[in-house]
Amino acid sequence: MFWCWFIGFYLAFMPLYALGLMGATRRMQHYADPSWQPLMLVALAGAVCILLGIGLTILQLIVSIRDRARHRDYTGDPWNGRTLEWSTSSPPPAWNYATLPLVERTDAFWAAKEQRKEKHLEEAPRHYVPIEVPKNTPAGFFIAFFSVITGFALIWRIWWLAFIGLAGLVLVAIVQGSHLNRETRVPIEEIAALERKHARAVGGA
Amino acid sequence: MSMEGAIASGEDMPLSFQGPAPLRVVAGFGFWLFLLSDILIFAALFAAYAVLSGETAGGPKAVELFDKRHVFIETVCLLASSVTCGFGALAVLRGDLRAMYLWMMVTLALGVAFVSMEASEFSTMVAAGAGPSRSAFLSAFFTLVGTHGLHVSLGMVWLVILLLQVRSLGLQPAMSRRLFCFGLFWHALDIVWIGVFTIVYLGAR
Amino acid sequence: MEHLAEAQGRAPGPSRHSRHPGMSYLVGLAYAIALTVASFWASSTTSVYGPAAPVLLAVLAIAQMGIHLVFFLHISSAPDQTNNVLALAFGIFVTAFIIFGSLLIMTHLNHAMMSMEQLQSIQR
Repeated sequence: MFWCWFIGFYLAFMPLYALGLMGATRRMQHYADPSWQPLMLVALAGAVCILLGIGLTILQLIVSIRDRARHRDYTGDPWNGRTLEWSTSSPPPAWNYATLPLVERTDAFWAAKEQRKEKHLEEAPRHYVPIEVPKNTPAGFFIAFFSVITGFALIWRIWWLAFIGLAGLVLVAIVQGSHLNRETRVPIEEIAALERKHARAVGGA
Repeated sequence: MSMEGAIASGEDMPLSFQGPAPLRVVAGFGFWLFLLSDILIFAALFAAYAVLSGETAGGPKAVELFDKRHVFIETVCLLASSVTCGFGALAVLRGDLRAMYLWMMVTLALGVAFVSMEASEFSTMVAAGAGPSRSAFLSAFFTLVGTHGLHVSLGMVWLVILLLQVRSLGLQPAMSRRLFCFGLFWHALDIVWIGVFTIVYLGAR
Repeated sequence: MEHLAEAQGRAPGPSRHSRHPGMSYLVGLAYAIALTVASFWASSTTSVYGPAAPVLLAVLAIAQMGIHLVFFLHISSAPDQTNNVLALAFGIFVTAFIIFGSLLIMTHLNHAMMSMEQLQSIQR
């Protein structure tokens, strides 16, 4: 699929670039210069290649969906990634990383995997601290709602509606602003439990 | 994922393990980044004004419209309000509520003076037929200076809301963070005004 | 944890560690007023070579912006201000890019294209 798309794209569009420089526009019903014909045929070949690629894409989607249970990944790292974003579970926890990783080189995750392979280390006991994360709030949704009303009203110059939208927006912002405890601390037990679960999933892969 | 050396403690703990910076620093730096993006909006408006400043469509030119004494007084008002805002921020640091209210009221008064002077200038121009629809130069002028004036006005609304919130919620850490962010906002507006009065009013020919 | 309080840098603006905190605002005010008066003088003076007047105005404006940044926002070359300086440098870069780029392109287009009168004169 990849090769069909890749080769087909160049075959289809490079001749069209050249033709454009020679004066051809888009969506031509006919053209007067017969010397353009060979380039057009190459472009046609490229288009057929892409069509093949599209067919293969659809086929791949069908096969992937059909075999999804067999290929399901539980580790959060399905492609043996090199960088740190693959080190979290999928979906990741709200706090992303339980401890901030110490990064001393590029591809830090890959380096850690190599170290683990070489030394066959046990998971060292981690020192977790409670992590502050923002509390869930509907304020964003309400602000967006009033923003839509305001924007719509301003476009069509419905001044009274714009005023209502702006007033609602400001009110929601003030109310949300008066809640000063907007963060909650995730306790160590919850962090440790999720880390253990993730470590088991990775180890079992 | 096992990262070696993950359990350090005390003074030799690498910076990345010491957790996120305190909220005061994070909020301040984040707001600074927001302000830089706001300055980008002004950059685009400055670019538009610079390109269109000569397109007067046979209408009034810049030199004919601007009164330098008026602009000088506006500048001094905004500059003084920046200084009083700074004193207000220092009062917040000291925890001195009365001084904070005093300095912020003065800031408000100077801001109101600035906006009313600007509004009177705009209405004079519109009444004389030099409104934003007269020429491209005037459209660019009203958009640039008007956006700055809108920022100042909304900033004052924000300050009033903040002061009311401090009255009802007290000077909690979240409130003092917000007052610092307001200070950043106000100083940035003065910096933009330096650009405005130099390029628009003093650069007029 | 107090020693970690500003280990990763300070936000712009006043902090507990500024020395003579009120002074910086007054000094900044003095410089800013001086530069403002100088700008207004420079815009209508004849003692400066004509084409250099806009350059002088620009220099005075940039100097005053610098005064604001240093005395009001306390941005300096100290190591705990590095983040703020880098963010500011990037902001200045993009701003200059937008303004300079727009002027460059519009001047080029102005030069390369027919003016409105010419266009109208070839239309029937």
